[in-house]
Amino acid sequence: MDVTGVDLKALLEEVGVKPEVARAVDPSGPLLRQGLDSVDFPSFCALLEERYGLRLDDEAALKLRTLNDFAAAVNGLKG
Amino acid sequence: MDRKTAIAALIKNAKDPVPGQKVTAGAFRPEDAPGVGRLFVQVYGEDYPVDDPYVPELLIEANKSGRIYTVVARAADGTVVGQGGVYQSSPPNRRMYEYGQILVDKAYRNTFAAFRIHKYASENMFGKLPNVDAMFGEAVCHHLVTQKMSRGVDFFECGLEVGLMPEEAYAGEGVSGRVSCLLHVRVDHDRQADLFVPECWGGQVRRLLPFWPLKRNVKQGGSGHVPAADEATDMAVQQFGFAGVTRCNVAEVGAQFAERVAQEIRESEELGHSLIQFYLPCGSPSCGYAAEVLRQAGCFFGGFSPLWFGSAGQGPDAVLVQRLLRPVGLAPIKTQSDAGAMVVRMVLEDMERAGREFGAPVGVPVPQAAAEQPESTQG
Repeated sequence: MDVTGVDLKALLEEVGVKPEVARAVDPSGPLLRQGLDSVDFPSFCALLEERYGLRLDDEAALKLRTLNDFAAAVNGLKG
Repeated sequence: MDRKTAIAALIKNAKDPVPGQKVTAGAFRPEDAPGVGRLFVQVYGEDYPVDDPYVPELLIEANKSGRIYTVVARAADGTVVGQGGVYQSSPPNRRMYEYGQILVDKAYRNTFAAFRIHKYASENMFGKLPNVDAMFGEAVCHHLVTQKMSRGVDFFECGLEVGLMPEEAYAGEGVSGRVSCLLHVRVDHDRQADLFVPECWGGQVRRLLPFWPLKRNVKQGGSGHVPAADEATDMAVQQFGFAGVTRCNVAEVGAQFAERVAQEIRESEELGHSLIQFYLPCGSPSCGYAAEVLRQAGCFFGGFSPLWFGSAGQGPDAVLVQRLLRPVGLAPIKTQSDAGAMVVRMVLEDMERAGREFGAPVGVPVPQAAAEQPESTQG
C-alpha cells in the first residue's frame, strides 16, 4: 500500500519536532516554512530510510519540499 | 613535520573537492589526515590553536592512541569533505572527552554531511569507546543547530558559559555580541562518590543532579569548612587568548585559595580578557568554602558537570563558577529545550545578583539586525 503525506506526518514527532508544530503541518506545504529546520530535515530523511528500508540520495532529498513530495519519493523507491 | 611546514604543505597541495558527490561518514583512516588538515585550513586558516589537525603524523598518532576519535565525511571519490571528533580537551579527567569540531567543506554545506557525521558518531562512538566515561559539548546559543543535534543522544544541558566566544569567531553569521554556550554532558560509566553541594549554589546544583543516574553520597558543602593551612591549592590555569577567556581547573582547594582567585582575576583583567571560569571539585568538603570565596569575588553560578575531574584531585564532579571581567554585550541566547531554558534562566539570574550585590560586570543583550540568522554547519 502506498504511503501518504498524512502517514508521514505521524513520524515528525519521532525526530523531535514539537507536537504542536507537527500536528499543524499541511502535507502539501513546504516543511521548512512550517516550523521544521535544517536539523529536523536530515533527521526526518534518516528516519524514512530506516523505517522503509531505502536510501535517499542527499541531492534528491534536498529537492523534496513537502510531506507529499516525500511520500511520492518513498513510494517510488519502494518500487 | 612541524606545524608550519605541515600548513605550508596543506596550502600547496589543497584541491577543492568535486561538488555534488554522494557523501558517507565513517571512522578516520590514516590516509584521511591531509584531507582533515585541508578542512581546518579552509575553516580556520592557520589559526586553530591545536597542532594535531594540521600535522598528519600527529593526527594519525592521536587517533591510534585514542586521544582523538575522528569521524570523517567522504565524498564518493574518497575526498574528505567533513569531519567531527570525540577528543580529550580541558577536563582534568582524561576519561571525559569533548564532542564537537564538526566542520564541513564549503562546497558541501548544503548537504547532509554534518548530520551524517553526527549520526555516525552517535551510533558508533557514544557509549561505546572503551576509554571514555563521559562526554561534554559546548553548544553555541545564537542558533539551535548544535543544541538540536544533541537531543536524543543523552547529552543533558547543565551549564551556561556566558559570553564565551567573541563575535568575530562567527563572522558571516550576522551575529552581534559575544556568543554564549550551553554546556551539556553525557555520562556512560560512573561509580560511587561523595558530592559536597556548595551551600550558596545548592538549589541550582540539586535541580541539575536528577538529569543523570549518578551514584552520589550527597552532602552539604558548608562555607565554614576552611581548608587546613598545610593543604595546598592545586589550580591549573588555561588562557584562551583568541576568545579572551581564562579557565581555572581547581583540582584541590587549599590554603591561599582566596589569594589565588584574586590573583587570577587581576591577571585576566590585565590581559584584557572578558571571562574567567573556575571549575571547583565537588568531592572536597571545602567546595562550599571555595564557592563562597568566589561568590564574594563577584562570581556567579555557571553549571554543574559530573565527572569533570574524575579521579583527579578532589573530584569527580565540578561546579562551574564564572565572572565577567568587564561589561559585555551578549548575542541572543536561544534554547531548544525546557531544560536548556531552565539552565539559562538560573545562570542569568545569578549573574544579575552578582551585579547587584558586588557590583560585578554583567552581560547585556545586544540588539541584532532584523534579518534572520543563518544556521551554521560548524559545531
